[in-house]
Amino acid sequence: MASKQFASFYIGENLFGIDIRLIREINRNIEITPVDRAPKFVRGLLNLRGQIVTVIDLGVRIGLVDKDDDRKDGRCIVLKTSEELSQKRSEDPTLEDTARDLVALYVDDIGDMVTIDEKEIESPPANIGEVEGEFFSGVAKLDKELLVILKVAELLKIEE
Amino acid sequence: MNMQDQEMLNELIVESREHLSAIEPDLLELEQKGDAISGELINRVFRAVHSIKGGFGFFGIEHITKLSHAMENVMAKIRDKNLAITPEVTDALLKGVDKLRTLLDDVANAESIPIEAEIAGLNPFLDQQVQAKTKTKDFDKKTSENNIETSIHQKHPDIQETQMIETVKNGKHLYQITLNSRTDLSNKDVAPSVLLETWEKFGEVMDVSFDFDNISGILGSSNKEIMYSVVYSTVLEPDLVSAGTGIPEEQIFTIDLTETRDKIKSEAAAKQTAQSAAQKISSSQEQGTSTAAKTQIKADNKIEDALRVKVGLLNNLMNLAGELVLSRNQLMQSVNRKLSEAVETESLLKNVTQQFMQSTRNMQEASRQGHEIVNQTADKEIARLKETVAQSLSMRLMDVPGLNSIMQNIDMVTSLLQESIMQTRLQPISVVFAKFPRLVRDLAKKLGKEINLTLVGQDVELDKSIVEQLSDPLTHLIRNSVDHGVESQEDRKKAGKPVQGEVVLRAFHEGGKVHIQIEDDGAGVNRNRVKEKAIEKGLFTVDDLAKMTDREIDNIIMLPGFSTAAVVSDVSGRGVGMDVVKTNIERLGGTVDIESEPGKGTIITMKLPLTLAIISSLIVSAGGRRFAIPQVGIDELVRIRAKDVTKRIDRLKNCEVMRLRGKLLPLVRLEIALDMVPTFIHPESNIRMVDKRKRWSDRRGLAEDKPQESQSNEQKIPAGVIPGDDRRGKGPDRRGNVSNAVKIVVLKYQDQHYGLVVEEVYDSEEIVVKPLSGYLKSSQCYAGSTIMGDGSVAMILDTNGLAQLSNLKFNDLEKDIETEKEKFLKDSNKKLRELLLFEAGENGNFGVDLSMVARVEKVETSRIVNIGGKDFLKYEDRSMRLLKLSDYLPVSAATETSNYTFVIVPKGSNHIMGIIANQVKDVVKTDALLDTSNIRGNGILGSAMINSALTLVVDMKTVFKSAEPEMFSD
Amino acid sequence: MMKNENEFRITVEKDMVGKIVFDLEKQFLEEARSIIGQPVVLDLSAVKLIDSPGVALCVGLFKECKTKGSAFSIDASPDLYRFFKLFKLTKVIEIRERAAV
Repeated sequence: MASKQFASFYIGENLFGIDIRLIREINRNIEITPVDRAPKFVRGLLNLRGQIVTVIDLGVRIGLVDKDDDRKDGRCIVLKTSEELSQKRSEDPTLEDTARDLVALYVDDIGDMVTIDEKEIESPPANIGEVEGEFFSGVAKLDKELLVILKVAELLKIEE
Repeated sequence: MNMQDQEMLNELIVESREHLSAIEPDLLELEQKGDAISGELINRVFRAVHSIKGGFGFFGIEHITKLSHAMENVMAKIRDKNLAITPEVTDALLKGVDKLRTLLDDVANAESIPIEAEIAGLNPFLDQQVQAKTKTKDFDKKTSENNIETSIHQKHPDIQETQMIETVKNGKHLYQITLNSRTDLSNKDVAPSVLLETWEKFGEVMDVSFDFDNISGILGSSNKEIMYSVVYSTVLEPDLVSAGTGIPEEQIFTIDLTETRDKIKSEAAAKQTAQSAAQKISSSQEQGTSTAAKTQIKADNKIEDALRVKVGLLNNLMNLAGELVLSRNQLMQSVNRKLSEAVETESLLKNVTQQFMQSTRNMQEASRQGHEIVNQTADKEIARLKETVAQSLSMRLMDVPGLNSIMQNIDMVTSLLQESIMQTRLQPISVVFAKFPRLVRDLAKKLGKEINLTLVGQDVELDKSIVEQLSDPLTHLIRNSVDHGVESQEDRKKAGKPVQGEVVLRAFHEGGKVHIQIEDDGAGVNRNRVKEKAIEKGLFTVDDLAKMTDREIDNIIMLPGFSTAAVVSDVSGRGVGMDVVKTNIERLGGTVDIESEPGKGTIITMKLPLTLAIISSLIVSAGGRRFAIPQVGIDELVRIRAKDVTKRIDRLKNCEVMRLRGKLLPLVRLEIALDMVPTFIHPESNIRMVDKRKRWSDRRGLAEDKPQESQSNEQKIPAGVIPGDDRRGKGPDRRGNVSNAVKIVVLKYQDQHYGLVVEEVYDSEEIVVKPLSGYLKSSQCYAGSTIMGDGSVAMILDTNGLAQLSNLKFNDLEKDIETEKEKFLKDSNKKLRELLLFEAGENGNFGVDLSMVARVEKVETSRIVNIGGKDFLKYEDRSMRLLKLSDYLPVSAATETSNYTFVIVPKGSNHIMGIIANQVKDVVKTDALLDTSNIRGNGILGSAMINSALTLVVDMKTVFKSAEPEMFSD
Repeated sequence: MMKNENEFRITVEKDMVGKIVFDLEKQFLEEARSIIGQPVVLDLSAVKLIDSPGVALCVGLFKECKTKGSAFSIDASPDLYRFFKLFKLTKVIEIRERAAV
């Protein structure tokens, strides 16, 4: 009962995870159009079968990588919109909220889907390496590596 | 609350909102017509309030129930003619409507929203006694009948008027029968359904309702006494009903259908008049529209065959349709490619056939000398081969029969589908118009005016997003018309006008746009006051105003920072002026225009696009990326040839400006406004490279750049999607290169214009607007995004945002010119400068102060001798040193030499020096300001546009000094 | 509607007329004790006839569920459905037309 499923993915060597129920689909090889004057963490826009998706560069967003690096070939994790999730959220209030806009997270690679007992999730350290902990909701030890669970709502916040 | 209840509640809220918006105009009509009102109108309001009460009663939301109950009671008194309709009553009821609306907006917290004030406002009318009511003989009977009708509408709000009409038309009677669950059902051991079934033999059970408010749970429920109320339409005469139904006579009430009968009659009459009126419409247009409006109001009352669809679903459909359009385009492309391949194959086939024929002939020739049989066999074989090849190849062409027509069909259907889906977003403008009768009534009352508002063209449809955003500007304009437009009653009397002012709000289609007009018969725009204010605010000078037409003066009202109301009133003077209206309408892609006739009235016309979802836009590029600019904001396209750049584009302080028909236009370079790294495409490698120049009017100085040096600063950037031949290369040879022309899109910005410099201008396209991502709003320069034909994403530029970002200051521009002019006048201590204009070097335009010139000599070039690298001319028995400006100033040297040269001989230098000119052009008197910000070279006073050419004004003394310093030491 | 495993189903096999209704009221009262928040379905797909107390009992159960925060719906036989519709109960209670198998 108290276990949760996470989709895991990599930014560099670091493994991160988000609640699998938030994900609409995962794409690769989609052309992302950069947008000038956009916030640094916005990698650009992509055309998902006629809908425009804002691509957030997760590495830049959490401060793990610089914007101008040469990462290519990443994956886009398209998240469900807040509206799409509203019903599920009314059933399970612990489910995180996402954004009004259609948003995708740009990551370097996709890892496995992992099931973690809630008891095994520890509270996150104040920072991981140079990265502040504001975006982390917890950590879990997997067989070989550490999974950092992200606060999706915090990641998607629009700052005015 | 569980989901299912929530869903029901949501439905109820939507329904109740609709009821409320229907109540408001009815209440206003009630007030206008007073006691002459038809019972049907009262009943309609009654029913609406009742169903709100009933609906929320189920959900136990007390505040809504209580308030609607109080309103219902007041309505009941009005209907029973126990209460006269006064503005006070309608006021109280309208306030109730307002509060109900507030409650509906926040149902979750409804119980904490106070309703006491509204109820207190209604209560006095309930206590009020019957006013001036003459009692007739049959008064008692009448009231009792009225009471019956009360109960039928109270208990059976669903009974439609049409049902009543149907009953009358079929010659039936209508009864309201009360059933007691004990005496009429249980005691007789009849199930209600069984009983009603027997009734159906003689007529029709139209509606059944029962009150189960007294049932609160399972316990004892089955034993509760319930009263059912049945509406029964039957052929049975009143004296037979009781026997026919088995219900005691006292529980049966006959419903009076006289009113319905009258209505049928009058409607039949109205139909006839409408028909004859329709024939007369053409005689007067105005008459025509108002007739149309009335018919519309009638039509609006009918229940439309419509479905409620979620906006999200529509948006989804839009997206899918957009996707379909894309797929269609791709399909068309690949099919066309295949078809052209097939055509190619066909011509190949012809070739092959010819080859075969040739070889046949050859073989025939060869075998003529051999055996006959060989000849025949070869013939056969070749023929067979030929056929096979031909068949197999041409079969491909016919692979899909009728492919072309199928493609055409798909093409057409896709376009139609997209169009229809767009239309689902359209909403009638009545959604916005509906609130104005109330607004005008309240305002007029407050201002002590009498105003009649006419609404025309309520069924005109606009995109939902536009309709939603029209509310504020329209409210503002209506307020203006009522407050400032229509005069006070006294002023109207004095002007010989009827006391009642007229305001018309009108919508209609014209020229592919929706026009919305607000017309009043008031005093019109007070132009003198506008002029005074314009001068006072420094917007225009007296001269400016003298040149303007009346219409232009009227439209000054909409300039930013202008507000005419002499007294800031509570009604309109809230610090937001007409400029806000204008900005809002323009944001929707529309325009606003004011037309006014003093003493007669004002018409404000707005023109709006039908939909915002698809807009016509110009595709441009910068830095290798494509952008869409909405066509509505574009004034014109200007292309400046490379060789004219220095003449047309200049720098004023920190802003680049362009001369366009004698006006200065500030320029914004898109690349820079968007903080892109400036790039150009290298002519040889075709690779996009970083351009290190700061501004492109810097061409003059570029020849000095050493290519190697700049090379080291260039970064390689892939050329991107644009197959560009636009090379912003270096060196003077670029002049005249066509692609190096500067492309400028002239854009409207408030009442000004500015030029947006782009890399390339492509075609105009109809694009589907996608809303701007929330993460990009802070960038301030985009209005949305779109998907291009090839599936890539492009941003739609917000041209106003770009102007703001670039800090364009138009007023300052004019001021800058003023101060520069003043400075120049002060410096030169002259009002006008008289300049001798001449040409020197390669296409260089120069001017010198005429007062400094002694004379100009035309000399044969051969007379000039070069001694030790310096030119000399024998002049008046002396040797005069001649200077080429290209040696001292940043101009290229002349490449051609002609037989004659001009020498400018200055005053007071004993004729020891002169300046060589290729051509002397003109002497002009000018007050043109000298731009001193861009001087590169000792000896130039500044630059100015003279005779539409950029001219460098030369200080001869300095030039001489730099040529021979020791001769001119002070 | 998706089939919900948590749903609480009350099935009535006989026509809801006369004395049966009073018995049903007792039975309902008993069953209602275990209603807390879960969706309740009153299965009347086998019922052909209902009398006035029967209707009142249905309404009573509906109100009971409401106060306990449970969603309430009725599966009604075609006959009953027509009847409920005429009485406009369908506007207040979610009623599905369902014939007994």
